[in-house]
Amino acid sequence: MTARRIAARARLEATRARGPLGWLLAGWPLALGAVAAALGYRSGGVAWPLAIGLGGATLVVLGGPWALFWRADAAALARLPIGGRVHLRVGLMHAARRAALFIVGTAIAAAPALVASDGPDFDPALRALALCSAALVCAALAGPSSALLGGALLAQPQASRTKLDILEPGGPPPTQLLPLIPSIAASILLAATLAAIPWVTRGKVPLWVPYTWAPFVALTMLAAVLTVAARAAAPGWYRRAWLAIIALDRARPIWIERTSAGPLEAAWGRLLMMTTTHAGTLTLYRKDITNLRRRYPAAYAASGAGMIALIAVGIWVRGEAHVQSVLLLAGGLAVYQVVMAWRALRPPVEHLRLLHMLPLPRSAAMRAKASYLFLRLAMCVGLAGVPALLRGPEPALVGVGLGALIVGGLLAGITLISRARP
Amino acid sequence: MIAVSDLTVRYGKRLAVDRLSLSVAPGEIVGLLGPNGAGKSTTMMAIAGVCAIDGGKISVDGVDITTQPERALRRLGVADQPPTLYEFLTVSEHLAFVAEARGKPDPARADGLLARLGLGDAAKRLCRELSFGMRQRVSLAAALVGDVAALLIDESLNGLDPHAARAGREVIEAAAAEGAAVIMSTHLLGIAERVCSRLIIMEAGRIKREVVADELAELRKQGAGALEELYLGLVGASAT
Ligand SMILES: Nc1ncnc2c1ncn2[C@@H]1O[C@H](COP(=O)(O)OP(=O)(O)O)[C@@H](O)[C@H]1O
Ligand SMILES: [Mg+2]
Repeated sequence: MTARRIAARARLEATRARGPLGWLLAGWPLALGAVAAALGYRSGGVAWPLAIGLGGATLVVLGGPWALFWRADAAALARLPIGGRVHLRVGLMHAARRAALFIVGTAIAAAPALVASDGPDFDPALRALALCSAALVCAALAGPSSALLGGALLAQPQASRTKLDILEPGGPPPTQLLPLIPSIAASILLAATLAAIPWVTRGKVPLWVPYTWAPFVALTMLAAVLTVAARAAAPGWYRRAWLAIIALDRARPIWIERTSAGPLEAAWGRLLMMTTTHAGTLTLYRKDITNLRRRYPAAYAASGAGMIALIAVGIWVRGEAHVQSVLLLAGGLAVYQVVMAWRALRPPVEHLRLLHMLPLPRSAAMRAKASYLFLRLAMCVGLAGVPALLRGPEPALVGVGLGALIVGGLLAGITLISRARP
Repeated sequence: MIAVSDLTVRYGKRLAVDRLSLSVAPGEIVGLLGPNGAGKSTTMMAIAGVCAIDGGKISVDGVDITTQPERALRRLGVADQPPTLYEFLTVSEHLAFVAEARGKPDPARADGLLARLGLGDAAKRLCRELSFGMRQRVSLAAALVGDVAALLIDESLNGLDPHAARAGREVIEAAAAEGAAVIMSTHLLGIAERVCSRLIIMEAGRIKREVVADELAELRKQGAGALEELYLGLVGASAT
């Protein structure tokens, strides 16, 4: 079976599975580009396109393990007689699609600057787009390739043995080694791209001087080396790596079993019960949190990191960029919380059919999910936005923006929740 | 008490259940037999209120499932196929959730059920770690927690090892003895013959034949294979 056939089947299944909103979620880099274009419209700078391109490239590299091993159909494919190279190619195609989305997103973000530019001999927006596209193409090659090498590392008997010691209760997630090589690749990619930024922003640097090529050469070399190595390793190592990963994933419950609602979430649950008489609301609320925390531990870490970033940006970013960066970051966090609310409506967190076989009113489920979304929005956007309010030059604008994000996120979430059908 | 009259369910143009009527008294175990695609699961999902119906009336414990779903569901236990479990809850957390949702949190009963079904050691494991047969049993236990007056059991005894199958049978019989009205679909004719008070053989959405208590007793007397002969003589190969 060819990678093309497999990818076509995966696309077919994805199109059938996702509703109208699925497109929106899948196309979020484009939406991000549009938001950035709107924000950067007046200044016409290249900061936003660069941020989206670089952020996207980092995500694509770090997403390597997902493109290769944790893709929804990876388990089904591994049961079929499919060679490691084909698996690698499927992963590469998956990563390439994501990278293409980000290239378009970057182009959208760069559109105002492209329109405002004054001639082809020096055009920062065009150069930014070229740099980001190069980085994203390299990322699409480096992500799955480095993930395969990381997987091969995990599958080494030595590695598995040391991992087993960490499997003791309370230990760290055992598959944490897997993103190791992708993270190193992402760091190199990021460093090389950042080194090329003067070429984008400073008009005095001529286009055809050898040293300006250096970052591109570094990028391409990195991607090429990784891809060649991964191609060589794939036939022997893909299956072994995949087996090691599922074995380690299966051991994960040892630590995830202990996770459930934290003190803040529990307190909010008690508060929630004051607004309703139906005991089922609290039952559902607790169940949702336990499932979400166990299934999506990384989402909580990511939200926490986002909050820290928002606080830092709120305190340290000065000048014109303050309001823009605070709102963009807070917007990203708000969207992420809505995505989590969407996840809370789907298996394995929720089985709507099972809910309908239990004597729980719709309102209890809605209330539980909406109030949790509100708590998450209030924490991630509201609380983490406070420093930006206090320290920023335009507290009123930031306040209105953050408020709008919370209300908008809540409304979007409630719309999702009220439309959910088994 | 489960009462169904003139139930009709369509999936698009396909008629899955065609004007089906049945009633199950407290303490009765009605076996629902029939080829794959006969409409057994659809009938049960309609009774459970999770399948839109195109006609008919359904009541559970005297309460209409379409007009008062919440009240009806409080006394109804369902073990569906395949079992719907919260994969990231432990077995006992899952049972506690279901019991709480039915308004009767009763950890002792849940623990007792788990022990009887041979799942005592699995109580602390995540549902997603369980084998097929264990999932079937957890689903059965979840149907039985809380104060249920009616039970719908969809092929839950399939795939169980001999000990587990007997344990499953016994908890179902015990529930009936406590006054639950039970509908149980199965392809295991031996178990149906032994456990059920009455059989309904379905085909293409309709009741093909009802085997009443006396007849069933007669079949039992005729010995092993009598029901199988009756069934095979009655029903063609599996429909779609
Ligand atoms: N979700 C569905 N969509 C369309 N048709 C369905 C669906 N579920 C069941 N059917 C059809 O309805 C009929 C009855 O199915 P079902 O009740 O599952 O049968 P049984 O449980 O007796 O094997 C079958 O023809 C089946 O193909
Ligand atoms: Mg069925």
